[in-house]
Amino acid sequence: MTALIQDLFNGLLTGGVYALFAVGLTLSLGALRVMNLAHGATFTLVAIAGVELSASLHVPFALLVVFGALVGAVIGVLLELVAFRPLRAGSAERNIEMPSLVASLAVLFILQTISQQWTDANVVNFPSSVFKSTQVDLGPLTTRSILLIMFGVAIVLMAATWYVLMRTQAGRAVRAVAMDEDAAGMVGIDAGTVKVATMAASSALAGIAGTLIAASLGAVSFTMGDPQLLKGFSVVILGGIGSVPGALVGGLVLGLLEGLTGHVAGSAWQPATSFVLLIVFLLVRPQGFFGRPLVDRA
Amino acid sequence: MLGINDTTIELWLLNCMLAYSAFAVLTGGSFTLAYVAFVAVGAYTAGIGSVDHGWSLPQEMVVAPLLAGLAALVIARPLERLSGVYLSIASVGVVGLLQVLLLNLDGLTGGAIGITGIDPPIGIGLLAACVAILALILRQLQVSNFGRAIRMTRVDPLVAGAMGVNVGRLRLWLFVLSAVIGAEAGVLRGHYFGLVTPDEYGFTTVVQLLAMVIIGGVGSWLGPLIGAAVFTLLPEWLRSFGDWREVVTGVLLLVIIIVSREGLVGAARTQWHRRRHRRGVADDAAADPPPATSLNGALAGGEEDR
Repeated sequence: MTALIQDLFNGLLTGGVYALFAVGLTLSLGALRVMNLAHGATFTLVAIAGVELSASLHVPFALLVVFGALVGAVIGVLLELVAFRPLRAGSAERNIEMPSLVASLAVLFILQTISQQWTDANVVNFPSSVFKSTQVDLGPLTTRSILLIMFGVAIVLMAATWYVLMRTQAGRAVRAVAMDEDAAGMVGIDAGTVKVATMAASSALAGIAGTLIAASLGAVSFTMGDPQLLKGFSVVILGGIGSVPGALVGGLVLGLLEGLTGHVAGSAWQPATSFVLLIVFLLVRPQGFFGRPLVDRA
Repeated sequence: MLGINDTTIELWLLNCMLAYSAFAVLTGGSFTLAYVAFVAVGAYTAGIGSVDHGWSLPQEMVVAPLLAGLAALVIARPLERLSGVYLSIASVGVVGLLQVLLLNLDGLTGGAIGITGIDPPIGIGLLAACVAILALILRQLQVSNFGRAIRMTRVDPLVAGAMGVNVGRLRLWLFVLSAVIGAEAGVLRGHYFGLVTPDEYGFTTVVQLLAMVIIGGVGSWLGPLIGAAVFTLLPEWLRSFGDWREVVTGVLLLVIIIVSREGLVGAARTQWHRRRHRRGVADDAAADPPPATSLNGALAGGEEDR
């Protein structure tokens, strides 16, 4: 019984990071209608950049996370300016979901190559001088300090994202653009700026997730983004496209169920959890837990 | 010369087969990315069939497409309720799930190591014959009325429906066709390399084949041949770039999706028509492709049937 609770607890903590990764995805898909396959590659490249940087300069861990957010944001801005904006300019339709999938795939190739070259396709260890995770005892449960930090950061960032999106003028602008770009333009919102900012925020969240996961795994490799991306899309569907609380709930549910799967069927079957969950949800409740609140016209 | 030798040509032919599998479904304008799962079905049929049951190559080339076609019919049922991003994500989920199964059902699939010792090895002749037959079939399909319906479905499914095309039925057949081609490609691939492993049939292959088809052009049977050539030959030509060549692939893909959306074949065709117009040659109506107005759910192309 304790073993089960421990597995579920581990799953819950992992779920926090799934949520953090997915919130960026849900933001770009919900607000900009772009399916960003490069989200995982951004996550990976930032993680690698963080490791390489901290190996040469011994920066404090907190600074490294901020650095990760900045690098992620820069990549996000480039993604919007180089890939998605020209795509919209050349298209009569506003709906660029499918072309954007291909454009972001192009960026995925580029970012992944940079990651691969940077690490010589090797697994690179996270320098323990920057962050050393310690064992933490919580009553009958044990965990590692990095997992708790990750979970905490994830919750705080998701709350912040939700607050900005739903309670501030900037967030209102994002939602307005998501709903109707022309109408948003008429009331003085610069859609171009909003899109750049949204992509920056989305990718910054990927960057933070990357840095945190690098620290928790203790190592990075250029392929680490692919499974994250697939899980990320599962979480986005689970929660409902565009929903921040949905991403949180979806991430936690996926984490818990992965923990359960690991306990019942062994860790080899864990990767199946997200796919089964994804397919079941798409068939039974494709709008996810929370519908599509960013573009709710009803 | 140009880095072309027998191995390169064989790899190109294999990639053509794989790309045709992806092409068959993408040309109908639905972004179903499950094709890699059917290639895996073919490859594992070859592996299990030849190693465990002593099947011959022709036997496998009959059984594999039947299996994959049936599987396609089964999973098409739930998938046809989805569209857009939902469909893409779900179909990648199917590939991911199959990969987990291949990894874990080690009694049948050999787990992470896969299956080795697939006999007999195949040569360039069989590969070339298969690609030629496939290309011919797809070309004939494209210039037929069916091909016109496919094109209309890709460019604008609503208009296609209004003109009497059964869009759902058409896409279902293309999906099954994609599965059958994928299975044959898988069988050939298994025999060519003599082994199958689960990590060949995951997300990486999904996106590689997608890129191949889009670079080549989603609207023409020539597209996959060109796209596969880009993916097979570019690495040879770009030796001096070392391992940075994927960046070139990425840039090429980005330029194509932004500039033409019809791939290299579509772009070449547009150029050709422009030149003909400039020379003042009187064109038939078909040479003046309608502008691609709707890109919804598809990479539209205003290309001709040829």
